[in-house]
Amino acid sequence: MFKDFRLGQYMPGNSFIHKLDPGTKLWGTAVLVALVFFPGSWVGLLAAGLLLMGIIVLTGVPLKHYLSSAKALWPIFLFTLVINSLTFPGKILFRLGPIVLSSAGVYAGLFMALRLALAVLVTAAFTFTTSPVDLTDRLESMFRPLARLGFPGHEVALMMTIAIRFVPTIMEEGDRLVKALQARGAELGRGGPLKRARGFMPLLIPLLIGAFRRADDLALAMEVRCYRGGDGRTRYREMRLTPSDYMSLVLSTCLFLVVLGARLFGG
Amino acid sequence: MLLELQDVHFHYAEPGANKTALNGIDLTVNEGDFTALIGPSGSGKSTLLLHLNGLLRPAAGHVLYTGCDIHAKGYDLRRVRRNVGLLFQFAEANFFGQTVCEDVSYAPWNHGLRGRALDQAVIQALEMVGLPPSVKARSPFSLSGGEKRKVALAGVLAMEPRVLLLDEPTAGLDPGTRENFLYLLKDLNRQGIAIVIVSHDLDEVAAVARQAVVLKAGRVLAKGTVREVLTSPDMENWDLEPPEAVWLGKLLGLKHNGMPVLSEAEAVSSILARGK
Repeated sequence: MFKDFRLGQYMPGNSFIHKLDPGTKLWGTAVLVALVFFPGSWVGLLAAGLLLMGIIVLTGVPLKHYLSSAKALWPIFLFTLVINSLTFPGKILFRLGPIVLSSAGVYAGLFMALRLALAVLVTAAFTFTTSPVDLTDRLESMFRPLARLGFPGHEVALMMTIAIRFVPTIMEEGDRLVKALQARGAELGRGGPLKRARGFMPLLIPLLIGAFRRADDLALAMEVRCYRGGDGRTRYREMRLTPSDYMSLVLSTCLFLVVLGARLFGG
Repeated sequence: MLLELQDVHFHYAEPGANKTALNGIDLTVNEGDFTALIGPSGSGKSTLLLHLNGLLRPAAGHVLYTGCDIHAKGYDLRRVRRNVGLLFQFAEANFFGQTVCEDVSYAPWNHGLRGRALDQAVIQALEMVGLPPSVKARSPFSLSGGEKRKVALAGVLAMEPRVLLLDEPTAGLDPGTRENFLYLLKDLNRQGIAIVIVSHDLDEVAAVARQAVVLKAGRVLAKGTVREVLTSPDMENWDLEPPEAVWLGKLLGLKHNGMPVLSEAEAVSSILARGK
């Protein structure tokens, strides 16, 4: 159940995208997300989707992992669709008391749900191909100029990496807990929404306790290995941008400017 | 025959390739059995245990409970879950109730027990593991390590299972508590509950189990009585270290009733008999 959720997991590989610098990929991800959210028409969204498909193929990660990432978030997509469908004014398709379903609402809901799904796929492409260690290194160097303003760049980068690193661990823990409950006769995922939600309640306490215990263990493990923050730390491996990075940065920036221009001046 | 695995195959989906965990397993569990699954890490022991409870579905092969395929269309898996209890490794990490009572009553509640019958099931389960009814109102998180493990076991026994599956049940317990827990398991087996235990501790296996099954790379390499398996000359080929008493018995050529010694007590009595 939880183990199929792969969003946030790094999948080692040797593709062109894997080899790019995390900073390049981070910028590329931001551009792609903008690309998904800027277009106001289906044609624009289709173009963004096709570009994303090309990038997904380039990552070399099997498509099923992307689909399972998106599938795991279906309640959010459904919520978006329902809320938009019921709140947008327009030609009334269905009315039941105060509940009004409009054609413009369904259109807007589908559009927004698809945008969210594509944004999830963009994020998945980034996390599947970027190792958390590389990401921390790059984030830290990106935050370095802010240190003069008192911004704790190293700590923030580390916190982000640990959060990403713990997603699959928590998922595995959740999977184990689900099995433990099922072994004791729990029927999770059956019945109405309320019954389903109630069925998962016994997961929360052990999951939280486990997460706090792990955080505590990790803090201790870092302390015993003499971790004292980022001051004076040197790098085992210095990251340098390659020609592929420069090319990708130029391309993605151009794409961003084109889309931004179309959005601002295209009407 | 209570449980039967017929040519069971299973693999975990991993990025890039599937990892085979079980590769054609045949196994039976009968009434009153006390079977140990042994083998090196990653041999498929815990995966096998999850199949016996229906928590994992085999990629090929069949899992039968009292002769019925538990994954056949229309079969109610709750029947297996109720009769085949499973205690996970470090099961106390799964506690969620504010009181012991809330935690122990979870399984019988799921199986439809309410009111006085539910209360009775909780008290009986606590009694079976040797805990007083007064512990019911306490927080499970405030108990000692041994007590926590017993409460976790009570949570499984509250379903009144016919088979008990245990994944390294004594892991992390101190020697005294471990002895106590093993004695409890033997007692439950004497009361008629068939037990399947996964353990890396072969001294523990020699002390409690009657049958042993050796697993390696998802295959059954050997099965037989605990004495046959643990005193086999093939132990090294299976990547297993025999218990110290077996090792000593081989070194000194000790026999117990004409068979290789299995425990320290048998080794001592054999040495004393030689002296006479």
